[in-house]
Amino acid sequence: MIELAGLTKVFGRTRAVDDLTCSIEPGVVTGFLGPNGAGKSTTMRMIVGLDRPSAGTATVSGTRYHDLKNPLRTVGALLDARQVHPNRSARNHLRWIASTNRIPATRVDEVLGMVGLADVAGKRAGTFSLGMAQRLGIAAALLGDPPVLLFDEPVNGLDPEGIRWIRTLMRTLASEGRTVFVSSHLLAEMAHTADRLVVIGRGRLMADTTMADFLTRSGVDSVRVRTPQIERLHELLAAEKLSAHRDGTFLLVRGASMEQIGEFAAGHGITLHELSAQQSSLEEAYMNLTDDAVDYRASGAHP
Amino acid sequence: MTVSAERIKLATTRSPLWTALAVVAVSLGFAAIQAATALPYSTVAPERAAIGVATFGVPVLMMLSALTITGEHRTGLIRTTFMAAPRRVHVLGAKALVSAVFSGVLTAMMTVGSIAMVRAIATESQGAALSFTLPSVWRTVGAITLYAVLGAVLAVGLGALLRHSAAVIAVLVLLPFVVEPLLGATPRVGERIGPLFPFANASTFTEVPWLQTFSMWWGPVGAALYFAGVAAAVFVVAAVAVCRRDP
Repeated sequence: MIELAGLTKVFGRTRAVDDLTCSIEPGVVTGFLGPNGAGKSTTMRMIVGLDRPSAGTATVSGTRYHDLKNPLRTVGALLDARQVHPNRSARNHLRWIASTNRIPATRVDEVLGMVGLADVAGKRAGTFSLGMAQRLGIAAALLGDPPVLLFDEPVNGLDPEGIRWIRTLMRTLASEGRTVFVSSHLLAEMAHTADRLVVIGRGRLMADTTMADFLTRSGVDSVRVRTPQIERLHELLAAEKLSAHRDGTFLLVRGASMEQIGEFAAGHGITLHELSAQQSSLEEAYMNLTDDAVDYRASGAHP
Repeated sequence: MTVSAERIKLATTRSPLWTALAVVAVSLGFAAIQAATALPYSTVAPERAAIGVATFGVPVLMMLSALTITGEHRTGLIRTTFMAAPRRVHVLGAKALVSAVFSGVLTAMMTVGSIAMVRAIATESQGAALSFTLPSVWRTVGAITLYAVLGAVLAVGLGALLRHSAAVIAVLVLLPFVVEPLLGATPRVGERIGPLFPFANASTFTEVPWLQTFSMWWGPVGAALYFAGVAAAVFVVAAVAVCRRDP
């Protein structure tokens, strides 16, 4: 469990992270979404005590990172896969990390096996491809068998096989009851992995919700219906256990095709004025959400 | 545990070992030159025999000590280090301790080696002051080792403070070899502030002759204490800075 309370980081005149409050629960994968420069990495760096918050706190299992005894046994983090000495072997890199947190040396070969680097354990980390470096970073995160895991843009630059491996890994870790917090600037990537979403834009919290709810609200894969009998259609659809979401004068329906909805409406004698596929994509919904933040800030500055 | 991690780090890349080998070779080379060029009826003093260790070996080991931290800033490894050990003062302390032990042990061995080498090459009368039964020989070994130990602490502090290898190396080369001799030789400056130069003090307590043109205000013990004070002050400032700054 990670808890952020009023977390703020100011660099000069920029508020990189602005009054962020949310909690990241165990047992699910939580996606941490925002455009580049939204403050995701800064937030993660504050969670692991690398950046000092300008205000507010970040705690893991109720304790600030700095006060954790053997912190790698509580939190594992992959922040930047290139944070290694290029001339030190993968095994030796993990050996020194293990020794700082009283992690037995046998665990080093164990995690190297888990990430599939057992064969290149003696090779210098500087010779690794990005995918291998990423795996080494994940091995370092798993070293202390921690209940809380942070991954900052873990799939950046990976091939499809590597991406699938990381997705499966994250879901497995969450199913073991761990807290898994993964950042990405691509919503589509998160749609396959995350159960919950924390969305930030310009350092501010935009949404803290479940993936399903976010998808419903953003209207992905949904059919847009306009009818003068909107209330009645909404009730009827709900009775059919179809997910319908009211958006002004429209009804956004998920889980049914246009044909099904048209026939369903006709069967109940409901007049339709419009029946169309929802055009806005996942990314657009997400862009709209983050654009709102910009608009809000601009209007806030000039009341 | 931070100490054993720093020990593993130092032992698991090749550059410290190659640097150490080069330092040993060059320092002993200087000793050989001292022996070969000694005048027929002179005696070579132990600090003269070990001049390569003090003027070449120790400064290079200081750069190596500073690199244990500036190198991590360059690769970003420092963030991994501070994540594994969030008490940054402990990290700095561990780096200073490991560097001081490494530099100290190597310097003691090089000093003994230099003296033994000059004694072996030189004639009996030239090497008369280099017998290991003489307390003055062990005094030299002790003083140069102390210089290496304090220098390692100073260098780790400088490295943490400046964070860039080039900056630290510039300071470690320019201060003892350019700034101090230049200001020291400037009339009315040398005698006023010269005795406060850190490396002038190091030269005083190791008694290794160097480009010094002014007289000191205190003897070897005072000079050793002064140099230790400079190293400690830099280290404390660095510790405060490291805790305040985001890596």
